[in-house]
Amino acid sequence: MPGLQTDDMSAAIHTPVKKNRLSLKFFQKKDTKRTLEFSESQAEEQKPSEQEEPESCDQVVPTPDSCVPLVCDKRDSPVPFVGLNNLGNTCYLNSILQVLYYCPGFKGAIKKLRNLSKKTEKHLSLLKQEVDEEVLPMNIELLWSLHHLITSMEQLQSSFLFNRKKYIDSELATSPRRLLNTLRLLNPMYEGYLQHDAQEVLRCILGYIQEACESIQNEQKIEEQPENQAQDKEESSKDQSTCKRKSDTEAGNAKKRSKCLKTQSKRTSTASEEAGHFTRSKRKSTGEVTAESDQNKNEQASHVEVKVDGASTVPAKRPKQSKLSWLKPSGKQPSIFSKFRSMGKISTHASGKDAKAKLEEGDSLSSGKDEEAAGIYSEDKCPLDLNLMERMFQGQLVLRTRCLECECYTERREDFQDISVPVQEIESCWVEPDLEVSPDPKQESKTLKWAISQFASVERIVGEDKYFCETCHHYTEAERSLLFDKTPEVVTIHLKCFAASGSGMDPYVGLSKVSTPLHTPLKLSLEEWCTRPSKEHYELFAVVMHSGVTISSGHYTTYVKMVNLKDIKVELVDDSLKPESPGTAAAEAYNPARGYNDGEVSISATSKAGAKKPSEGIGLLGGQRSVSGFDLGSSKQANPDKGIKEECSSSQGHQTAVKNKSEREPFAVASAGKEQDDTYVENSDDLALCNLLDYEGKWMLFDDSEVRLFEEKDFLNACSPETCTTSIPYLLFYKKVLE
Amino acid sequence: MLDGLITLQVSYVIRDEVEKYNRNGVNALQLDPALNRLFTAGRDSIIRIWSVNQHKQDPYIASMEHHTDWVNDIVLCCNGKTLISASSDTTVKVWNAHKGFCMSTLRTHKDYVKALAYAKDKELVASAGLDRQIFLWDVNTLTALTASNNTVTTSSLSGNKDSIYSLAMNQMGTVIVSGSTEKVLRVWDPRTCAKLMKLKGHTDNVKSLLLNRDGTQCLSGSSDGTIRLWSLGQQRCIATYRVHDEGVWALQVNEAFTHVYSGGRDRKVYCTDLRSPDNRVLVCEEKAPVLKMELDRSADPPPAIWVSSTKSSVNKWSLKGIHNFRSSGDYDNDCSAPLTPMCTQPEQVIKGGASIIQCHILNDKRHILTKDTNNNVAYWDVLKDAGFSSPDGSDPKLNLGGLLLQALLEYWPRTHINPMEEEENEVNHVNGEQENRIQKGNGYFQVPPHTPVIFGEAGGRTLFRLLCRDSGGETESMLLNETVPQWVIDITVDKNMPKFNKIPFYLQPHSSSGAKTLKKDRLSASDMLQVRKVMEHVYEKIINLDNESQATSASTNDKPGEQEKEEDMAVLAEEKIELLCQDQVLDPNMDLRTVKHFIWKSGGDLTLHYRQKST
Repeated sequence: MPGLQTDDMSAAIHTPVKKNRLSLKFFQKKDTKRTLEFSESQAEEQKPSEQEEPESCDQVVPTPDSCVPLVCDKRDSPVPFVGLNNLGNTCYLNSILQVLYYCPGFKGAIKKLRNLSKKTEKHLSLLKQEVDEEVLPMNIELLWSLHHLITSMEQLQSSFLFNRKKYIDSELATSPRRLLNTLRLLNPMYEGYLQHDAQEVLRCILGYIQEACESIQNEQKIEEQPENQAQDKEESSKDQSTCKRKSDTEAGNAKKRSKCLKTQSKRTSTASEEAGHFTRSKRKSTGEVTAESDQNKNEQASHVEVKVDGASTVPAKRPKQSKLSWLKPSGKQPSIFSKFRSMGKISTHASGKDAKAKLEEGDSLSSGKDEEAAGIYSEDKCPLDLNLMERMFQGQLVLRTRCLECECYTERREDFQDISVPVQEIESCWVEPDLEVSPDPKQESKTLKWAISQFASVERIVGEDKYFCETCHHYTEAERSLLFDKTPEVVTIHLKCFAASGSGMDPYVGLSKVSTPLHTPLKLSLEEWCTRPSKEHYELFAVVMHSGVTISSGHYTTYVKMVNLKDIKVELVDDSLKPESPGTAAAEAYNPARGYNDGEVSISATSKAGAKKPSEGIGLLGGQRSVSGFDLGSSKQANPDKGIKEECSSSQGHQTAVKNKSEREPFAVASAGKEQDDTYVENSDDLALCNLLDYEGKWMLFDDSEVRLFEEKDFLNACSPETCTTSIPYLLFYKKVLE
Repeated sequence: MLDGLITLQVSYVIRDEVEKYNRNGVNALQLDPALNRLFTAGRDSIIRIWSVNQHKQDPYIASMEHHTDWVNDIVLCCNGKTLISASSDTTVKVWNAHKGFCMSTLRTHKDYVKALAYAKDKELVASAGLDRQIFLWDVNTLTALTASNNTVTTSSLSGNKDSIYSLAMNQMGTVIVSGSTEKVLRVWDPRTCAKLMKLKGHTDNVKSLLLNRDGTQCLSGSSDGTIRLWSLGQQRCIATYRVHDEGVWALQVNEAFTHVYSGGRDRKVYCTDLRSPDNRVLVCEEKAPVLKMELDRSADPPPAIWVSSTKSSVNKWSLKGIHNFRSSGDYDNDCSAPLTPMCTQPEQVIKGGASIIQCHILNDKRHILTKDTNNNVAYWDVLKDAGFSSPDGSDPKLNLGGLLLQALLEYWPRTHINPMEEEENEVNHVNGEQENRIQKGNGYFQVPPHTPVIFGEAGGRTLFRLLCRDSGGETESMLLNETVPQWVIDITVDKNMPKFNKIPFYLQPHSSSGAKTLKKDRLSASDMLQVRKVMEHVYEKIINLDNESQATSASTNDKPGEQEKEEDMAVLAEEKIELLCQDQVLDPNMDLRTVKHFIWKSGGDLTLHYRQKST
């Protein structure tokens, strides 16, 4: 799988998307084949799989070196922020990814989620040897892709800061290839090279992350569930009654007599497989069970056995012409495995593709049932980490209807992810295209406040159609208002810049842009429209701009305000030995009051799981080296790579990058002026950070792979309706700030 | 009057002849100090007159019933001779307050009339409502109106942008103020109808307003929970009083304009010193949100206050202790401590009755279930409770609705049948009892003569309300001529009952009978036709025909007893055959409409199958 990943990356650069997807499949097939071999010759299997596991985790190892230098652009002093390559009209995606990358708390949340999913993955990794990657739930895969992208962006930035020289002639950018591929698998709409709506893709990505969270949550629930024999019996008896296959009875019985492991497996599998199961289950039990009684261990072992048993049928099915698979539907346990299946089902829904082919029909049928069972468990409690996304981006609206007679009100609540506000009065919605060049003088530009009050406007129910008040028992006048009940950490404001301009055109193309943008304030308070008073207010931190005439054409760019740069850990590649403690920086950045505790909890969690960390780290480093070695061998970018390698070794002593910057402030200023001329400096990491800190509070324009610096004044000019008519704000991102 | 586009509906009220108790909240109060009478304007559409002499056993004197919706406000004018009322039926009515009859109805408003204001010195009344309009009325002109001379000139004050909920005019009639959901106070000069000013400050609807005698100061109570004192000379708010926890709905002030009495949604009544707002006293706590208050001004300081709420009883609370308390000056200034009410028991109570708060019309459209504020559930028969008693069982051919309409308008001379015409009209009636019918009504039953009959636009304004027995009166008769819609005329005057709807259907032998499908006959019958009749038809015309070929003699012998035979036929038919629709055996009591709607359910013509019973 890691091999696949890097191959994929390098392939991505050379080949267009379609082909790439083919090649991806090809690799998967190879993978499958290999795993098949494993299952047949288990003696060999042990070692490679051991190696494979850590490697499978280090798929996040970025390959910036392999891709960046390929894109050559003459820019004198690139800013130390990473752009994203355009993969064919993907500016809609790039603009959103940049916002998410700089969205306070988002990186941390993704890392946290990914770690959580990794735990899951460890169970799955057992299966993964047999079942190829495609069966991996796609939303989890999206999470991993995102994480991969974030890590590669972070490390590219770090390596740039340490060796500016190397990048002088090149553009600092990476490519969101893997993410795009995952996205395309999840939603075929994004195939091809059409321009899409940035708001839509944002909703889409966040939606998939949410799904992934739910998957992980369900996973954990099932894991936490004590291995309940009685329940298992019930479950298996249910299986017996509902399924029509002969072997079901066998499986059910086998389960009750879980101690007769060997006899059971003899009955249900070939000799070679049996041995394989045994070893695997053993490893499993040692790996996971910590303080359980022997009996429990046995039970668990038996479970794992069954699980693996079921899984092994999947690849075995094809060569053995499905005979075996019919014999072993014993995988229907209320366990991770079943969850795994149900997730597979979810991904089937989402992608409607490959995953389905690999699931047995019978199993996918039963997975629905299992999913239900899992759902019951998942409802009682929900770990804080997992609704991070919800807390960050989702708020709640209240529709309140108040009788003007008795002043009683009724309420209806609804979740919201973004606020879609109009940019002009409804009456003047039909703007002629001609007017875009010279806007109607009557149309004075509105404020964002006006737009939100349009969104949350008070509506009176008066006149002929009065409101029947249940308290007054009479038709009365009433007021209906939309209020914010819960506000998220990040408020996304979607400016409805596109108005349908009829004239029988293609409805999609026909959405032409409204040329009257709003004044974009740097600070925003929603208190006016909140159900209860709050001290919070919002600060603008990113804007997605759109230039062009219609929704399906034009170009998206992103402005992001650089804040909390001191929290960025500038570290050399080998510093990734010690993975960034997830979420600390983020938690501090966006909500000290609430977020910090969560952060701590997660830290302890990761350190607990850190038993495997060192080996992982080694694998990581090894992976990185081998990659650069590969690059050397291919002799494409020999020199920069050498440079970075040397630097790696020289600065290995400095572990942490963040040091008291105040001491170094003057130096930083001095060095900032002639950053170009800066050659090798001893304290390269401090310097790197100082360089970075110069950009604190500045705005960056991310235009695909190009990143440019903007002062706030210039940014405001660019956003202002008076000075800029070609490119107008489309999505505004505000983050919550406590006063 | 008759607008083709608007459907007019007729309704009637099932009630006691005398309704002695307020059946819902009381929106407005007026005291007549001369006669010691209290007028209450109820949400049950009735204005009641009460004697407030304590020693009297039953305070009820009379009801003034003419409105058809909530009465929102009342004012007593001309030293208690005239009462003017404003209602949600969009009318303003002028009453003889002493005798309790309605003198005229003003229909200028287009929506609920919410508030009235009265300038005593000029005998000028203003009305305002949800249609944003304010109309000015000269009371002396209003009282001079007669049925024939019913034109009145009015000046209107426009400019309000939102529904008006409160109105006030000073005694001299020089200033008028309105409060609306616009949250501003708008001030006019009623003499010139000129806009004077707009006062901003409240953050919600303004529900109560008061002006001092010369119109220099104004008090406003708002849903935002505050009371504000405004100087009209300075055009600004002088003071804001935060006395209540919730919206302020009712205000009263003493003659000297120094102490304000306020009540509202929080059910509490406070007395606040306008000059030192910390001097406030909790007079009492009602059981429901306070809608209106009226000061007993028989002495100064006022000895008592009448308070009405959304509950049906009206309470009189003594204010005696408060003034002593205030003069002694030893009250607790600590506003944070919860005040204890001065009175815990009202001095006098005008008891109210229960009101219906929930109803459900049963599927037969004849029976209604209701629930009232005392949680009593009642079952009503809209016909029986209106006097209907079935004379000869239930004849499905009787159009009960038509009969009821005839009964409701039986005193209206136009419905009376000229004996000359009677014979011609007889044709229209199927029933044999027609000959003996009395001249009026429907010949079956009469509704109680006190039953109110209301003509109105469907779901909208009321056009005319009268009591059943009054329709013989000259004025009423004339008004009925203008109001009664054509479809009612058809039934009551022309005696044309609406035609039964005919529905087409097919009759075929059931497939199980093995009989070959005859040619598809498309039949047609009244949708009220019972399945029994169809079965008779089948038995008689189809089955018997088949049998006749075998035994022809049998039927011919039965000829003499035609009537008996018919009954036999029905019994025989029910014994021998059954009808099916969608393979469901039909109850002989069902009518075709029911079959079509509940069993056939689909479009296209109804198809019935018959078969002989397998017994």
